[in-house]
Amino acid sequence: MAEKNRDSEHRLTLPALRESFAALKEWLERLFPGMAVPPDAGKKLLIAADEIFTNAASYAYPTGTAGTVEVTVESDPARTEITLTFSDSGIAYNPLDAPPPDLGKPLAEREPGGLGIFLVKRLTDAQEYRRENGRNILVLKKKMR
Amino acid sequence: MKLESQKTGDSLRVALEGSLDTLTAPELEKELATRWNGIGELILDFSGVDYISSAGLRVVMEADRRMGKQGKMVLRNVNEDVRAVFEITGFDELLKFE
Repeated sequence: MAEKNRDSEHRLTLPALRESFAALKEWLERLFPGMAVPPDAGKKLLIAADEIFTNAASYAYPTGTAGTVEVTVESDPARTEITLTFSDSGIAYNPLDAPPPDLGKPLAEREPGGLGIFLVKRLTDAQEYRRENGRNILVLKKKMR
Repeated sequence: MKLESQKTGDSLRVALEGSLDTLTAPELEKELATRWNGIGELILDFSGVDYISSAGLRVVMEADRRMGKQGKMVLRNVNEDVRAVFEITGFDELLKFE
């Protein structure tokens, strides 16, 4: 069982740059089929990963400061749920606190921003933020069946 | 992302292929920026788009804003997954689909 658990946990550390999302996307697309993630759940997780990673890459570290974002993907042994964890040592920030966009407004009057986190909340089943040992840790869970 | 633009009279059709995300949305933005002038109708053909994130939504929102001033914009062949994102964000009621 321990072996199985190790097999189902994967970790990738990336430079905190927006363009690193290319490598993250490629890695997730490669991992998901082997973890029995259904294609529609996989797409939703890729959207959520885009939002969370891009947010961290854009705001976690002051401009000009090098930093990294660590991403962990794991599934439970029964493969009913997949967990994506994003961790960085940047400025303490809980993206889940972002105010939701005003969905009643015409597009022309809408302010950009807020949409990404709103999407994350709707496309995943659970979201959790904590600050631990000087790190931002954001956990997303998605049911696979 | 693969982009293919075709202009017929004052109508511009842009066919997109791939995912419209943080990496590719700037490509669409750039493509449109060079082609706005004299366009009365913008058709975004989504038949090859597998998913869209907020970066893509922002470019679509900006394009709709721009076309609102000089003509109209329509989205064609939007698949179910992309449609779901438009619905979640309320874009479906504000954009024109064909």
